[in-house]
Amino acid sequence: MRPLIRLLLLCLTILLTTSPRGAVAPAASSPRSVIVFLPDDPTTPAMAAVAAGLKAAVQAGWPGLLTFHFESLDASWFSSPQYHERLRELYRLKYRGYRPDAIVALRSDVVGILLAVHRDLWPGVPLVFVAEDQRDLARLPRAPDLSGVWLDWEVHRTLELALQLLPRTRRVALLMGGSSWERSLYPAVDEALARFAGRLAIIDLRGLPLAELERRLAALPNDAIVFLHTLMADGEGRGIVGLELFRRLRANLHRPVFTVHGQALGHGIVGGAMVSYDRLGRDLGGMVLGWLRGAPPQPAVRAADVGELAFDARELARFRIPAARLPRSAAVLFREPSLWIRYRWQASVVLAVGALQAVLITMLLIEQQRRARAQAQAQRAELEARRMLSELAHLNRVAVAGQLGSSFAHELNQPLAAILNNARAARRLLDGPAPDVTEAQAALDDIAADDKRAAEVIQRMRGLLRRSEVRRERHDLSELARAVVRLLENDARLRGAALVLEPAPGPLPVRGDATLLQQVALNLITNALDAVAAVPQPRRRVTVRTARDGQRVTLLVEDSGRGSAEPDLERLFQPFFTTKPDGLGLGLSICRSIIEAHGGRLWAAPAPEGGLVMSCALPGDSKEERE
Amino acid sequence: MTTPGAKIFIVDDDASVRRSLERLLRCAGYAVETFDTPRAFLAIARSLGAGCVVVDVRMPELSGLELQAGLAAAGCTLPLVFITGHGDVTESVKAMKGGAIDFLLKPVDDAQLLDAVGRALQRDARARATQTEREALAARLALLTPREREVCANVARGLLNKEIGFELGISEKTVKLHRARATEKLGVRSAVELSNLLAQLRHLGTN
Repeated sequence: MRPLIRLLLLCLTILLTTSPRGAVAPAASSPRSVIVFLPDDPTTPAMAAVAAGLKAAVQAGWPGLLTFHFESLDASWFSSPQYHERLRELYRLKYRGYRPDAIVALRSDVVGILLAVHRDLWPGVPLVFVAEDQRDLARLPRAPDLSGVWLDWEVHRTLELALQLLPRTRRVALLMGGSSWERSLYPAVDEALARFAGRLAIIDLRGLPLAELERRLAALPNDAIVFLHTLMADGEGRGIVGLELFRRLRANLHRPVFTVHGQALGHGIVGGAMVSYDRLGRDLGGMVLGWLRGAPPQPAVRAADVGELAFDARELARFRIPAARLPRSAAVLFREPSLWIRYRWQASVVLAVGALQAVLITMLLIEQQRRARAQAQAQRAELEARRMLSELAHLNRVAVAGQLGSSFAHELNQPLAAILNNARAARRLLDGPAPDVTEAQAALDDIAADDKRAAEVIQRMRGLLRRSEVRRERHDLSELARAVVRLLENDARLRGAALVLEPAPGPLPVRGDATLLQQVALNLITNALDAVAAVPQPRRRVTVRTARDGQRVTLLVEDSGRGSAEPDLERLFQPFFTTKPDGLGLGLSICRSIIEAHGGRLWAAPAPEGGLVMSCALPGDSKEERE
Repeated sequence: MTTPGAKIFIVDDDASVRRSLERLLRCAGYAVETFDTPRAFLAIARSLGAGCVVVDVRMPELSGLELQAGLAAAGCTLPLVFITGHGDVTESVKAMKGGAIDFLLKPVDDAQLLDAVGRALQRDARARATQTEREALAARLALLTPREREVCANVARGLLNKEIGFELGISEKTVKLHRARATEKLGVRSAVELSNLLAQLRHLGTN
């Protein structure tokens, strides 16, 4: 154990004291410069990626100051020998006396243009180059200050991959520009395609004018794929920016596209064996850094370490290419994260909320169902109770009506008798030789009045006997009491009792069933009339009062009788409790049921003058102002 | 036969019934006076003249039957015609026993009512005539001396003068004298007439 720790400490010490930064520190004191010669528009994705990768790699490895000069030669679009000569003159003029620490030249044609300048101005300055084809290297001189890489656009491998992914492919459309540099690449492409002879028919769209290209692309058959190479100029020599053009072409292109240019991935390309231009830049940067550090790259010329199998997941999905067909080393980019992955958090919340809601809704539904059932049950019970109450109330009214029968008969007989008398009298008055018309008319008027009176009596009787559904309507308690008092006035008179109504000033709105409420009053008053029969006539007095008591309205029936022999007044309200020889003992119990059904209270108390006072308190109908 | 100035007294607590009865009876030619409570009527019962009473059996304070009793107690002999809403046998029997003329069911047929009222007035008139007669007799009887009254009473019993004299312990001659004076005072000519008169008096309830 102890020797191991000692070994680790030793290693750590060595590492700390021999860091490369410490080794190159003296060289870093003076600024270094690098001139980079780019063939084309430095803002195109491939160029920009190379330049950025290169710069980043050098800067990352070099501690001192660095200057980068970028020269773009526009070589794809301008390629005349005169132009190349003038360029060389320009550089000789521009960089006379300027000695960079490294030169980078991209692409074989650029290297070709620059070699003379390099020889003239900067002998001994390392030139790092990129050749697009190994074969181009043959044309390059062997010199100690030259080092570089060659690109391998793996057209063949890419097409093999395409066939592997889409086995039904029978044709390949070649999409490529028509610039002179590009034309110089055609043979290499043809060579690669030659290996597919018999397996793939070639639809050669290379160097076509734009319009035709678009048309041909749109009309591709279903067993075709597209191989995209460079797009620097169309068949008429017009300079084009490859990716921008491709994006436009892609809109009407319905077949899968493969390419070897990494920078195109993500723009509607299925994938391929790609050149990563960023990695190319870094590779070059590494070589430059080697030169700056005084350690020339070994070997001086090699293949660029830039290839990668890369695919666009969206395109794979679009053409229904199963992932299983991809080589294991392939990188799948632009993987469309599933909704679940992209919105995992939100989805979790939504799902949780949804689940919670579902549970809640279910609970509510169950609850509602239960409540509905309970409500229905309660409703049935209430209906039943109401029906029972209504029934009982009706029976009670019938009983009361029976008790009042002779009173009613008497009351009805009075107007009938008067009518008959008046009719006979009128007849006589008009019969004689000198008819007394005036008196006869008076008799007829009296007949009409008595007829009305009789009708009223019948009405009251009918009201009493009506077997009606329990209703909830707005009534004036005083009016209800008044009607009952009128109904019983005659009976009271015959019993020699004074029946007095003392109504509250103003209406006493109450919501309920008029028949039932009147029945309560009827019972209370007839009971009171029964009670006062026990005392001598002048003292027989029943007072009916209505009053407002805060939110409640009250009806009081006070009698001047002897009071109750039963000390517990609550017993009066028990069913079948009666003090009357022919009583059923149901009246007060029904009354209490009625009042309680109206949300009120009915109780008995001794009256100040010795009798009983029955009090009935009902909730007032507060909506009076709005109605 | 009705007494001139006879009136029909209507006692009913119901104003319209009262009025209709009054109208009916008036147009039948009767003089009518109405009372709305039995008490008001009873208060003046003693001073009432000839006529009859039409009364509702069922009234607060005092029923028709109670009124009947009250009138009798007050010595008022006015005949009563009862009107009732329902034919209560007990009530009607009581009323008739109390001397009611009729017990009519409401609504009352006018012919029945007028017939009852007519009978009531007749009875009242008859009663009043008998009363007048009895009063006249009583007045004449009042003129006799006690001895003359004793002699007359024995004459009416059919005793001879001699027997009366023996009975009273007086002479036959004295009996004759008393008898002559009494017949003169009473305006009778024979013992038969005298005896009839006395029988009549006895019948009217006066000794």
